[in-house]
Amino acid sequence: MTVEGPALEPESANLYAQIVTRTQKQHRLFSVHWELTYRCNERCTHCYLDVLAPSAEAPGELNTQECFRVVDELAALGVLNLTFSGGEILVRRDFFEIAEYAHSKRFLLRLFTNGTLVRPAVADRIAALHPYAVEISLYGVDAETHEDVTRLPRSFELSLRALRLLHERGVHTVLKTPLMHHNVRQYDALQALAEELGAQFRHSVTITPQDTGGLDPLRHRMTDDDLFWLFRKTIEPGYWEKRALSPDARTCGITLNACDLDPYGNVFPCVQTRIAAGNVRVQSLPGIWKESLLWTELGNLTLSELPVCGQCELRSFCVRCHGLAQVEDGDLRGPASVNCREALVRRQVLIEKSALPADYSIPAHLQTPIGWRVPVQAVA
Amino acid sequence: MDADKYPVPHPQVAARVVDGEAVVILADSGEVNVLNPVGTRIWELADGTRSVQQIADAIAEEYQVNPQNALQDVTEFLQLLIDARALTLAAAPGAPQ
Repeated sequence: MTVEGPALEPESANLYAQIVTRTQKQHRLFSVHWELTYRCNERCTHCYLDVLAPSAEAPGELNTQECFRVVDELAALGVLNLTFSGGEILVRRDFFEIAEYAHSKRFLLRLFTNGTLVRPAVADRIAALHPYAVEISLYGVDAETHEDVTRLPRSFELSLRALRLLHERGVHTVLKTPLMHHNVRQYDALQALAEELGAQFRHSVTITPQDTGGLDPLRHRMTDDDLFWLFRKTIEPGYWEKRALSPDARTCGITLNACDLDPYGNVFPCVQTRIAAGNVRVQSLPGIWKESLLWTELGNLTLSELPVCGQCELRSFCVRCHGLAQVEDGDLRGPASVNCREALVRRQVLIEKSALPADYSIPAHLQTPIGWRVPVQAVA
Repeated sequence: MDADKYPVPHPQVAARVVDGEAVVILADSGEVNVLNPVGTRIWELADGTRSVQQIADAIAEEYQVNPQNALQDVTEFLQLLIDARALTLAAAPGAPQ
């Protein structure tokens, strides 16, 4: 041929990172987190959703045909990564219709499920979707710890069964755990259990308020002692030493190339920032993505636009969330007190690991307790 | 390779064209492949509705190249994608995807 011949260039990580960066620079929708239902068969004590019973009437949920239309719009927009989440996705009787339709459109699928409804035939059907990952939450390494959270008898056994069935079918599984006061000391055992099940292990440290503003989940948060214990074990100083955030930096990738869809068709910047940009029943998704002013408004929120966080000496050690600042502390542009606490503990642990000087300053706004519980005395 | 067969993406494949380059992800392994413009055009044509021969004919016409050379290049490239489990060959045409 007289033109450059066809070529295939496999260098997965670098190539993918370049593509993602390109989509972010172009404000091109590339990843969507879609909560298909808020119905769930578990009743997790820390859940940020006000979930409905599995058999509850949910008249506002997008129906099958509406979901197909959204899938078509996502494909036309060039979205590649599509995560189906809940509630519990498998309580939707049309889940496989929707997921198989999405599979036919060649999305890279990720499924979030509690796994309790995954019997062998269901595992077969999931495996046929070739999901990139199926992520199953486990809240402890024994039934008592796990079911104290889920309040569903046998859920521990059933979630483990799902992890095994899927692994047997070659599906990449993730055992993920939101760490709380009652389970954080099982961290090592959770890692070992994941390994035994052939699953990747992932943990998160932040328990959030309910989307409705309810603070009940926060009573499960780790104590300061818990957080110190965890960070001393998990912090890698090299990562934080390199993470020097300039005033122009963003604190997260919100609005760049991703969004969240709820079961009723509302489009949000992310799962934590519940400010609707539009509704797919009223407007097309491409229209919402291209025209809503919310993307620009939030997209411009660099550190320099955040009066307190932008000046904070701990900004490079903070994983600040706009949505948490809004829902828990009432100001999208203000500090998110739970993230402040994590940054303070991180600072202290980095000092202990000789990655920061012992006198590394504590910012003025954290010299006195802020928000609901940032016990500076214990940290400083 | 039988030029009368119909190449179609493997069920494990997730793919999108971004700025004229096909991003082809093998979901089972997580491997990412990016195709150059000619490879991307072949990928777009290999949707199960065209035979290997028809794809080669289209490439020869669009890029103004010798049909025999096009068939050889297209066949080699398709075989690469089949070996990577990015494509399979069907005996009959399927619905466009």
